[in-house]
Order: sequence, then C-alpha cells, then structure tokens
Amino acid sequence: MMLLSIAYRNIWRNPVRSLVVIGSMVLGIWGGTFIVGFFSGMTQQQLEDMLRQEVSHVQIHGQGFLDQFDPTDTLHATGALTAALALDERVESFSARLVGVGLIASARLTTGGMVVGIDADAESAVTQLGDRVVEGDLFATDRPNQVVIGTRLAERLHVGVKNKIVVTLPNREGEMVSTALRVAGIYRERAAAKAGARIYMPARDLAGLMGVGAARHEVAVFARDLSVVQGLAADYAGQFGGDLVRPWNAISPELRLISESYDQYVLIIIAIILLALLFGIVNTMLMAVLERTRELGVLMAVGLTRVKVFWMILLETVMIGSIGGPLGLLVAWGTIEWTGVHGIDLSRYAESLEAYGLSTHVYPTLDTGGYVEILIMVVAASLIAALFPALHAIRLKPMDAIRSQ
Amino acid sequence: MNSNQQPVITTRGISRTYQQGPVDVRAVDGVDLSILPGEFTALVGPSGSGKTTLLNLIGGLDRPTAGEVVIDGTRLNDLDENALIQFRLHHIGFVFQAYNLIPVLSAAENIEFIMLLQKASAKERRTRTQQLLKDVGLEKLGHARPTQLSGGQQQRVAVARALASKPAFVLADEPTANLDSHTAESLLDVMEQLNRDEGMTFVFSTHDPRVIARARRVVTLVDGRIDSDEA
Repeated sequence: MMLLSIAYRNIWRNPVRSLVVIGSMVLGIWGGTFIVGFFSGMTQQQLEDMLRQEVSHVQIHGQGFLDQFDPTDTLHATGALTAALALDERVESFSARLVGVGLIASARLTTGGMVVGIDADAESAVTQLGDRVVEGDLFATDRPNQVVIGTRLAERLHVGVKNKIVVTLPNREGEMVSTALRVAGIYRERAAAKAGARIYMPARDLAGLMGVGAARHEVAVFARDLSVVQGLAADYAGQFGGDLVRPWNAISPELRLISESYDQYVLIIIAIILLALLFGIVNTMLMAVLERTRELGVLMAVGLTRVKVFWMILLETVMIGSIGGPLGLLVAWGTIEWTGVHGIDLSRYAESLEAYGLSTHVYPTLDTGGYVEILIMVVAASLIAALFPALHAIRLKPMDAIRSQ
Repeated sequence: MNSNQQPVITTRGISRTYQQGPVDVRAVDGVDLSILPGEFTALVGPSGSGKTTLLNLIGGLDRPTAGEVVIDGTRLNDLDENALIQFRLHHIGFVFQAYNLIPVLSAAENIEFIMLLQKASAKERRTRTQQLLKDVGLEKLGHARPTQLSGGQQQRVAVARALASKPAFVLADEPTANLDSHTAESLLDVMEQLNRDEGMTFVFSTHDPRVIARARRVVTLVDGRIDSDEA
C-alpha cells in the first residue's frame, strides 16, 4: 500500500512532466483510436454498401446459369426455395430474380447489359433499390413495360424518365426477342459498381418476354446478421436439386480482401501509435529514475528489496498509463460517437474516393471490443515501456547510488 | 560497558581494494575492529583515510575484498544481495550526510516506511513513529514533508528513521557535515540521549571536532589502517 502511495506521489513530484506525458498519451490514443474508428467506419460502409447494393449475403443460382446465362437454367424449384426462405428466421429479406443478358438501345446508343426482372418490394427490401431511385419511381403503377435504369446508363443513352428504350435478349427457345420499355425511374448506382449496365423491370414482364413462367434464375438473400451467413449458405447448399449456393465471400473475393485486410491495417496503425507511446514512456520514466538515483539507493540501503523497487517503477508507469489510456479512449469515444452521428464530409475528395468505391461521407465507428483491445494494448505497452527503467533501477548499487549527485 | 559482552560489530582483517585505471587503490587495509553494544564511537581520519568505506563495509553496503564482517553473530560475507537487504532492514540503521529522506513522504511516513517493510502492525507503527518523533523532538512536525523542514530537522527525522527498525546499531556517515554549529550540537544531544537512555550503539564517520569531542571511543584511520583506537 505504501509502495502504491509512493508511486502515486512520485508521479506528481514533477507535475509538468507527468502532465506532458499523460497529455501526449491522450493525444496519441485519441488520434490512433479515432483513425481506427474512421477506418472501421469507412470499411464497414464499403462492405455494407457492396453487400446491400450488389452482392447481398447469399446468392442462389440455377445450376450452370452463371456459365452461359442461358434462360433455361432456372432454379430447380423456385417455389419451394422461396417458401423455405420466407419461413427461415435467419433471413431478413430475399429477392427472386430473372436475369437476361442482352442489348439495350436508345435512339442515341446501343450497349450490352444485364436485364433483371424483379418484384419491386422484395428487391427494395434486399438492395434498397427503391431508396436509390433519384428520379421517377420504382414501378409505382401497374403499367406494363416499365424499366428502371442507372444514372450512368441514362446519361450514356441520353434518356430520361418517360423516354423509351429497346431491350433485345434471348428467350427460352433461344430466339432473340425485343420489347420497348418506358423509363419509370432512374436509380443512383453505387459509385464503384462494376462497369456494365444493369436495368430492372418487373419480373412478370420479363418472364413473359423470356417465356420462363414462374421460374427464376437467381435469389439474393440478406440475412439478419452477418454471423449467420455461412451457416445459412451451408444449409441451403445441395438442398434444392443442385442449385449453386454461395455466401458473399465466395461471390466477391474483393469483399473478402477488404474485410481481411481491415484487421491488418488496424494492427499496423495501432502498432505505430503504441511504438511512439512506448518510447515516450521509456524516456519519461528513465528520466524519473535517473533523477532519483540517490533516493533509490537509500531505499535499497534501508531495506527495500530490488523486487519492490522494480514494482514501484512499474506501478508508476502503469498509473500514468491508467490515467492517460482511459482518458485518451474517452476523448476518442466522444469523437467517434459524434462524428459517427454527424459524419465526416469528404466530398472534396469525391472523385478519388469513388474510384475506390468509398463513400464521400464517412461515419466512424468502433465496437466495445475495439476499445477494450486498444486499452489492453496500451496497458501492455506501458508495462513493456516500464521494464527498461525498472531494470535500470534495480541494477543500481546502493552505495554508488547514494553517493551520486 | 561490560567487557564480557559479545561485540555487535566485528571485522577481521577486512580490506577493500578498488581498481582505478591500472592502479589498485586499497581504501581499507586489513582492519580488525570490534564494537560492543552501547558504544558511541567515532571513526576519524583525513579525507581518503577509508572512514566511509569502512562504514559501508560494516553496513553491508559494500563487500570486502579480503577479511570478514560479522554483525550480531552473522557473517555478512555469506549473504547474497537479497539476504543482505533483509539483514540491513532488521539489524542496521543508517544516517546519511545529506539526510536522504524520501521527499514524497512526510516525516512520520519516512519513519513508518521502515516498519512497513518489516511488516509491523499498523498499531505498532503508529505508536513507535510517535515515540520516535518525540525522542528526536519533532512530535509536532510528523506531517511535514522533508522540503518543509530545516536541515537539522531533516537529520533528526533521519535518526528516527534509522531507529525505526530497532536495529542493533546505527551507522552515521558525517551526520553533522551539513549542519550549523547549534543544529549539530542539538542533533548530537539527541543521539547521545538515545545512546545513554536506550543503550543504542552509534558508529560515526566524521571530521567534525564536535562529534569527536562527544564520542567515547575514537578510532583514527590513516591510509585505510587503524592508526589509533582510544576509549
């Protein structure tokens, strides 16, 4: 107890120095934690955007469909599959789609693209397509032959809402069929969405055009929680006549890379900050020990064992860490929470951010586990930093230390 | 003093040689010395005569290159570093020239600290600290930090700290060197009284004629050897 008291008082015998080191710890931890939160928010947003708008959690395709996009390669039992998904509590939403590859033409341009037949409500539940419609609507009326196209395609085709485009694609019989569609809405494409047009029309219209009836080519599933996705995919694989069931990480290796590399980036950032912190603490504590050489000599002369001297120095360091660490984390938490709500506007870098598929508004976030991990690492770094000064202290010879100036 | 008493300090042929560049310097050279309980002894001699080195050897702060030191029946040569620290804690009190109190502790805490290391009970610590502060005439300054005390007061606290562990003897290295005449006399009064009333053994290294005048035995060292030993 007395050691604790001495250690505590030693910290405050040079308050300016202690406050400087605590201040630098607070700043370092604040900056580091905030960067981790910023990066975490950016990565999570990127992942969520891609999962939400493109990949979804699980995709199920008819066997062989992805090889040729043959209209006849529909799901083995669309009705049974969708019924099972509707009853599955792990599933938040799903969208059964028809997919055709064909030509999309306006008076100005003809381009290749993917024509996706959807149920508007189901699709909006999975990909939030309805929310992303920036002009017009997503099949608000029951009028036949409507289409919703992306902003970039609309620009290239030079069409707007209510204009017509012509779609040509193969039907079930292998014949090319065409139809004129009126643009009902224009949706905002994800900034870094893969090149290539993707247009949406009501599934019943496309089914009629392709002649596939009630069958569908793919089902996109969004789970309630990312943690259940792998189990969900495994459960459906092989259950429905050999349909291809893939979780998000199998669909998009790019996403898996983002997710995996995030941990490494975070580790690198934290390691750099802790290294700086470590040297700062070593410097301060070594100064504190050198200044007290005579005093340490006296303590050892009158009966304080080397083990206790070692603990005393360690305690002083841990106390500094215990003040600076949580304070830094508290400030970081406040900053992350505030910016997490209000966002950080990076629109001035929009062009380069969008090229990497990143949003121009970042909402930093860090879960409790993240804070705990950083706190543990700070305490560990403080302890490691204390070792050198503490070892220096216990190597002192009382007789020489007492005579030192 | 009873001549049948066992010495509290015995040195047999102790030497301490230091390497200074290519030269071996023999700071203490074959010293035989016995100190009986209750003595009030001054080690005197010119600078470089080996007083402080001898004191360090007796106090277990340094190890002899030859000979042996026996304190209270224990041969210090046989103790390792940790055992030596424990031995110092329980058997030897130190008073240093520069007081060397722990600046972050109050006067009372400086005294209590030693008993805490000895694992004395809280009650015993409190009682003994108050008694020691009273013995050195500082009962009202227990709460003061060393920086709030004069040099003489600090040295009194140092004496009280040295006595806190109930040691076999107190070693005082030039205890009055930093004190003015009046303060030095007053400190010597305190130590003399403790010696007289409680039979505490004191061994000083000193130049100070005031200390020498009060000592009941004066051991003079010259070139690391005992030149004279007068009681």
